Amino acid sequence: MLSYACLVLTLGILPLFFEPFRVSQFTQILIIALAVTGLNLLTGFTGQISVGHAAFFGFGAYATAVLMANTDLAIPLSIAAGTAIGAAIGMLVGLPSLRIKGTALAIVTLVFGASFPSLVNLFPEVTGGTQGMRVRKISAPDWLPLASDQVRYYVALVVLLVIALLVSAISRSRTGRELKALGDNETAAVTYGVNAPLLRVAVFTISAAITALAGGLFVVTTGFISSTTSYVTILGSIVFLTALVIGGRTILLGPLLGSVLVELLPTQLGHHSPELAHLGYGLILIVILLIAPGGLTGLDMANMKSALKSIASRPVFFPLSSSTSPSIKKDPS
Amino acid sequence: MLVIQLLVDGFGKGVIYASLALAIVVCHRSTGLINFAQGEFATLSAMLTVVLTASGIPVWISLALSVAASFGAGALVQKAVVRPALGRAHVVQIAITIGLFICANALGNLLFGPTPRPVDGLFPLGGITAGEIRISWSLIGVVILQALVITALTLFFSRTKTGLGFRAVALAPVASRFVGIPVERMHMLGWGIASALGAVAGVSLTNLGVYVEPSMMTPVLVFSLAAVTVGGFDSAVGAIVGGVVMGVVETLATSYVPGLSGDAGMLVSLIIIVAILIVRPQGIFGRNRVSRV
Repeated sequence: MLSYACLVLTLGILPLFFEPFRVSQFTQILIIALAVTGLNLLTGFTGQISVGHAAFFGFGAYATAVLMANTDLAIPLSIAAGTAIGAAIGMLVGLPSLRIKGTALAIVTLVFGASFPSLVNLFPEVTGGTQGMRVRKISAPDWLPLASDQVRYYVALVVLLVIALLVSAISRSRTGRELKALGDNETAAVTYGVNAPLLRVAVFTISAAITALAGGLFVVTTGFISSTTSYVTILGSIVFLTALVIGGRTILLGPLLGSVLVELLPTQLGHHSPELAHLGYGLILIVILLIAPGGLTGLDMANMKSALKSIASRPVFFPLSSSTSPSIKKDPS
Repeated sequence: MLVIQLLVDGFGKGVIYASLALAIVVCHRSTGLINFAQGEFATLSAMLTVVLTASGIPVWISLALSVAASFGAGALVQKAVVRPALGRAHVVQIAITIGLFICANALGNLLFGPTPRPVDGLFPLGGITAGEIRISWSLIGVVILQALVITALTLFFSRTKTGLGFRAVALAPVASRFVGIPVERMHMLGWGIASALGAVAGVSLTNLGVYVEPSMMTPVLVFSLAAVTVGGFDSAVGAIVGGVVMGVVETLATSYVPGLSGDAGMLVSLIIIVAILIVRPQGIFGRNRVSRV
């Protein structure tokens, strides 16, 4: 509890010490962390991999952008509408997930995510296609002694913390336990009375909503969106998934850590060569997956020792896993 | 007629999707993993071919060298990266292949550079014209090449001892170990063959007019994954049929649906996949996996 308070406090005073460029970067990190939190609800809790969450991000972003461009809707309402649309799409995607599970679902989400930019390009008059559209950014109200970039940071921070509290509440509730049960072993969960279809659709809906919210925040803090913006392409989906995997499946710290790494690594190393940064990023991902499969926050000495041991030794038996089942096999640790 | 020309072009593209899809199936049958990096590996192989031909080696020999190198690299990657993660959670294994995707993509950018370069043609220029329909030699060559490769692979799996061992490991890894089949080596073999197939697919794609550049095979990968999902993860026939269907559908869709362009064909493939999977989740040719609860 104290560590969380310290974290929040540190996050809170951060923008007062850095120049606007850095603060904007931090805002980005917070927004990505929010998107990853959405993914965490789906992949972290129920074990269903989505390699297409960038599409939800995109739906939220574009819905907000289009509404703000064509109507007089205020920013909060536009973002809310974007979130609602994201939720609706999430529900639509959740329906096939009742029949399609595991790797097949990962592939379906991959194709879904990969086709989002094409969807945007289908309606260039509305969305601006590859040229993109400019959006009004959040600006500091007069009664606040803060600069615009700092206000944007705080908005992102507040939203992230609120959502993290929400997810934490879900996690500790009966629904949260049911979700985790679903992820562990769906058949067993059903025999305990877990309403699998309802939960599956619901988790997709909420997960998509959170990521769409992140998308909406993205446009009002960066002011621009196009079908080539990396976060709405397949690259974005990969970024979200790898941030989650690297950071770990905790509620706030995992997505935050993962986003920090994902955002800062390319830009820091990118001074020399962005490709080298990507290579480093990929290698880090693989190494972490091999020695710390629970992500950075899932790390502890016992975990790591057993992981290192299992790399060094030769597996005698491996599980006869059925690849089309919704499996999230617990690490033998 | 325009439709027939489209069908011909679509078939050519589809054959390449089928090739990569087959690589994915081989990979999956041997290690149970869908390798999301298969496309990027193929891109690297194509890049290697370009580099080899640029240094004077005739293009067919470059291709052969590339294929051999890809085979070796694929086997090595399996041993170094995938094997340690064998017992882990599904998410972890998939994330590892995504990590490989990122690394391979970055390597391509780093070593090859972002500027697209063409590959010397494997086949002579020109083609035959039947009425209004134009079929280039490259298209015919690509189709025949893939057909030869697929036939060779099928013969390998069904007629040789190693192939039999491979199939045994895919079906029952524990029992195979008891009869003395080197299971780990079969896994490496699977990944090696898959990478070699990918190399052929990548170079074939360049012969259809695509320039070699990083992320060249990423759209192909998406379609091939769709093909594999529709055809069934373990079915070679499904991969081939699925790939060809995806190619034809994509070409028809981009021509006939107004406003649809380029990779918008993905939208159509998305709808197809979802429709088929809802009716038959294991894919059209897939086996229904029964597992003990």
